[in-house]
Amino acid sequence: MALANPHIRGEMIEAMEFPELSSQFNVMGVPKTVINDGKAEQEGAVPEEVILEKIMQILQ
Amino acid sequence: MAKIDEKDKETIKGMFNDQMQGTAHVRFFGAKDGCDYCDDTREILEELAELSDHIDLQILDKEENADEVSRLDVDKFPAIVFVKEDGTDTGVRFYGIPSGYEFGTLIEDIIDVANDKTTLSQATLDQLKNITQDVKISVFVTPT
Repeated sequence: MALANPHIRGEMIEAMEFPELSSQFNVMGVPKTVINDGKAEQEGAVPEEVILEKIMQILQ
Repeated sequence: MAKIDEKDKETIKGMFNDQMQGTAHVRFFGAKDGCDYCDDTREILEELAELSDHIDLQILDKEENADEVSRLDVDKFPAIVFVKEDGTDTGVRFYGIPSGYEFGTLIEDIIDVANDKTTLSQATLDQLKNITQDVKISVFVTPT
């Protein structure tokens, strides 16, 4: 998604190496996707449409 | 000691050779203090870069390359940032060591970035194109 639009940044964060961040976003299981520092969240590996919908919702 | 075993190296070398059309410009950012996984991450990247001429790897340091750290907005270490040929951010990055399942993701990302191509559907791409605000997608993962 990041490659598709310069406004989008996609980052993978190793949860165990950054426990403070994981705790801040209540990461209990992985993968967990956090959009715009918590504006939206999604747990688990989900189809791209689900993430896309979450992004579109917070941008409205 | 090598981080990637010889058999895996052969497989990865074949994948890079067969699938990479362009070049992946990879910037590694390490820190000297308080970074448990910086050395391991750097070694993984160096071993990968040896497998293909299509990987342009630069090793950078939090203190010594503060300008690049700031320009690319790197706030955690180790960081792997994929940039374009002119040095601008592709938007794709890893924070922490890419081991276990994430090692596979790293290989895929290297190939995708080099080809400037994603596996997303056309419908998704069409919607993403219309986004004009900044979006940060943070995916938390673990090495297992």
